[in-house]
Amino acid sequence: MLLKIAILRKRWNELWLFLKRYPLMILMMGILLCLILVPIIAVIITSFQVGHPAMPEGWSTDSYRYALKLPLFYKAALNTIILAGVGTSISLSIALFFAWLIERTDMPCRDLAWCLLLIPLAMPGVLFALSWALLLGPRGGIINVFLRYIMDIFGIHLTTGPINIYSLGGMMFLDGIRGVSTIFLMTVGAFRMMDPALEEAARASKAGRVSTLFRVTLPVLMPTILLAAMFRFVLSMESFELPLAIGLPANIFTLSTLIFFITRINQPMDYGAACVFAVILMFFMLLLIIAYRYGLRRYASYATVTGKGYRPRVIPIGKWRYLALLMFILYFLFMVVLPFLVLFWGSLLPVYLPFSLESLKLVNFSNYIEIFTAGRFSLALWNTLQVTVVTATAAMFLALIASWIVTRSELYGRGILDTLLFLPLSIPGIVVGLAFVMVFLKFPFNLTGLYGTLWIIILGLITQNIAFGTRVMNSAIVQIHKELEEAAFVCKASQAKTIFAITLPLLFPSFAAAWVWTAISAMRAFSVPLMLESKNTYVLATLMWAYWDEGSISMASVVGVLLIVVLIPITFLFRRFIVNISGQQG
Amino acid sequence: MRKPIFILSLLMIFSMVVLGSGEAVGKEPVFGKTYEEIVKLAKEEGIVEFASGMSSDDRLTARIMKPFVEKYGIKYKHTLIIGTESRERILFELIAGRCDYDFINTTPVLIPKYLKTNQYAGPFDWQGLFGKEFKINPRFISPDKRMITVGGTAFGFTYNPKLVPKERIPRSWNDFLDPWWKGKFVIVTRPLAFAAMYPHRGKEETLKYMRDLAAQKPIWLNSFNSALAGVISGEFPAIVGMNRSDVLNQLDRSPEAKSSAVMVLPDEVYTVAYFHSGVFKQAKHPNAALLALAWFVSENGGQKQFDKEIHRGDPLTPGTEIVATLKKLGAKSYPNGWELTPEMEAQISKEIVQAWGMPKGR
Repeated sequence: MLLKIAILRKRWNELWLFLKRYPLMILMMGILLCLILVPIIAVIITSFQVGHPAMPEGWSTDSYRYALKLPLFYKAALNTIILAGVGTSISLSIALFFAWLIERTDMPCRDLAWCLLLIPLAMPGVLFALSWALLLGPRGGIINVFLRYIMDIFGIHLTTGPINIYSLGGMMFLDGIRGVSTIFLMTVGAFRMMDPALEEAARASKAGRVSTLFRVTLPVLMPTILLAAMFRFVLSMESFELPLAIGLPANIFTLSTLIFFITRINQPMDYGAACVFAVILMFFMLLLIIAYRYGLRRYASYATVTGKGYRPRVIPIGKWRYLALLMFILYFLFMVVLPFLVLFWGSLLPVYLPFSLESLKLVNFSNYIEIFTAGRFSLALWNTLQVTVVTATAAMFLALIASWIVTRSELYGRGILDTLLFLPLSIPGIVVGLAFVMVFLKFPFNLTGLYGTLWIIILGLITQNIAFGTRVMNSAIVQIHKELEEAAFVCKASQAKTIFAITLPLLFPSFAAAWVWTAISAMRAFSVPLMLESKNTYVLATLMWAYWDEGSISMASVVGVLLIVVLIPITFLFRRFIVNISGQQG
Repeated sequence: MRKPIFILSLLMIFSMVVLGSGEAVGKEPVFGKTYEEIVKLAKEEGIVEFASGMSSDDRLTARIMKPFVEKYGIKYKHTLIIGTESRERILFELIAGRCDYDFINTTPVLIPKYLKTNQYAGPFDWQGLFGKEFKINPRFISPDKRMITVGGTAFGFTYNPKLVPKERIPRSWNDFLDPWWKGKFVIVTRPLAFAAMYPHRGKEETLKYMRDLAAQKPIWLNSFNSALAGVISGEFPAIVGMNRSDVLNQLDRSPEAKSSAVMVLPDEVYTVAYFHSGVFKQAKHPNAALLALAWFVSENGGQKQFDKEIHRGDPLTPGTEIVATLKKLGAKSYPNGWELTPEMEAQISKEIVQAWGMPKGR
């Protein structure tokens, strides 16, 4: 007993010394943990309350009883799992194929293909979903109109289709092609760095290229592939824009759109039930994240790079390389070109009409003049810029400090801090938005006056992005030896000065890459701003959705076109940072 | 030395947060006691800020507001808001102490929440204060005298003539129960049209019709405007329960869409009151807001402008466009005013939504 008290006293003294030594750092960590834990707690509390969240009338498990009896909940849960599973499988197949083609074969224009694969990462999901609604809507979709014209020539007369994007199949297709870039980024490095000795041994035993790929290369890279697939599955589970734009018109719900539907569209709105769904979704996501972290730890040391020197070997695929290039071009067409073209078409019309000779006569650029003269777009652009810069900067500085505490300090409980910082990955964007509404409607946070301002959106996005930032900073900081910081201490530099004058410059490439990635994520964010926006705090992605919801497809198209034009150079900037960090040739 | 810095930093942040707080909640606005006083105070306030779904076109808004601006010299700032969720968001902002508008036109299903959280100023003696200057029909004043309505909304169908053959043009509500229409029409998830049907057809008949409609596997959208855009673009053949004025306003703005969207009033036309509005307690320009609402509800003010400019005339006022149209068609109109209370409408909406198979809420 006395020993236990002595140990506790020792821990308390260590903690107090740490607090005295790094007060600002601790304050910032406190704020960060509040950002993560308070919304989660608010959602859980609201799920047990009766009445409107701003005027609770008591405690009850009624919301759970009501929500869990809804047949729609089980349908939505099943749709979510099916969408995530099939979408991830499609993404995985295409991404691995491209990663192998780009890093291990002599397909032409490999470097350009690498760059172009990043562009979809920067496109907001809502832009992608709405453009495909215009392309593959069963009656008016441009591709369907063209297919029906071709089928007419062959005597097959259809009045609708043949493809209906407003279906679970349509959602799986879109989710699948959208997830390719993420898995590609997570696996391409492993393909590049894999020692080709195993493949050479296979070829020496007269195995063909395809056989080598499936029986040697992929099995060797399986841990990396599995981790990427798990991560993509997690992202797909929380997918919101695609189910919103494509699923809701067909009455196909996923858990994220069910939460949105009963808090924004359905009448009356039911926040208690929405919080129950949010709690359940967070729980499942948490299990997935725990499995992901287990996999990370277990396979972190799985070596495909050995101590022997080697040169990455390019596999000649002969005449197939042009077919491979064609497949890549087709993917890029589906992913970027076609959405851009249909949005550009829509942006040139006073009111959206399908492509025809009559509607060609209506083409003009007046929508572009209107959007630059009306206040909404410029305000949305300015808001997006503020949100992007402040979110990325704040998230990365907080991540730097948090990672420093986790990796460098001897603070008792830093492992728990690291786990808590990873927790936001399990909170879907729609739940983050809902949670912040719950928090800032209740005492004492309703006194802060932050509700309805840009700050609440920024805080929500920091919460969403902090996990990524800390992962990158953790990996970067451990690569810098402590002796550099110790030298600074010897010269009587303060902790803050050491971090910002010594550590940060050394890991600046990683910091900058993560900053750009976080900025892109904030720029294309949709679900958090949608739940938290106010009269003057809309961003470009939600402005596009607002125009669509108001029936102004043409104006929504203008915003979409401008977004794509702005985001493409930013993704090339991101690519440049990745090149600088990894030392690859650009 | 570090301890004071730590405490000081805490204080600074706390101050910034508190100083950054929104407007104080709860202070009752001061209204003039006579018409002359109200006008004087309103002119001193100089502007009225409001949000509504009245118009998405600034030029159209200017035409509607022109008589008010010319008469009083008071400026206005109008923000377009669409759908129930935007009104719910504004309610949250009011609860959080943030008030960006002097009044908004809210949807009836949300009025009980606004009232419960004590957002509206009043009650007002509308006739006593404004009766000499404006002709105000008491039918447009809420029973608790805090709110007004202006004009009305009639519901029917919209179809794309390129996608619907002549023999299939819908003329009555039950036409959409024909197997031909399965999967071919849109229903907007805000059950305004069907809530208007309920007091006249009765609960059993209305809910049966809702279940039968849902069994036809309609396309569900959450806004009238996006549904209309879908019809015009050729994606959806028709909309059931479409708001007549939205269609006519869109066709006024975009005449090139006239060949792609036709509005039909059926044999039974259900109408509801429009522009449910009350002055917020937190309004920055309360007298200007009160004066504006009095002008809106008056026969020669907002009622006339709504009829003339946005096809939202009252179906019970002789001489309005909708009355003339109904007479020409020989259609029977079933109007709903304040007797369809917000609480009733909220309850009816719940039942309709449940009949559709969606979460009914609690």
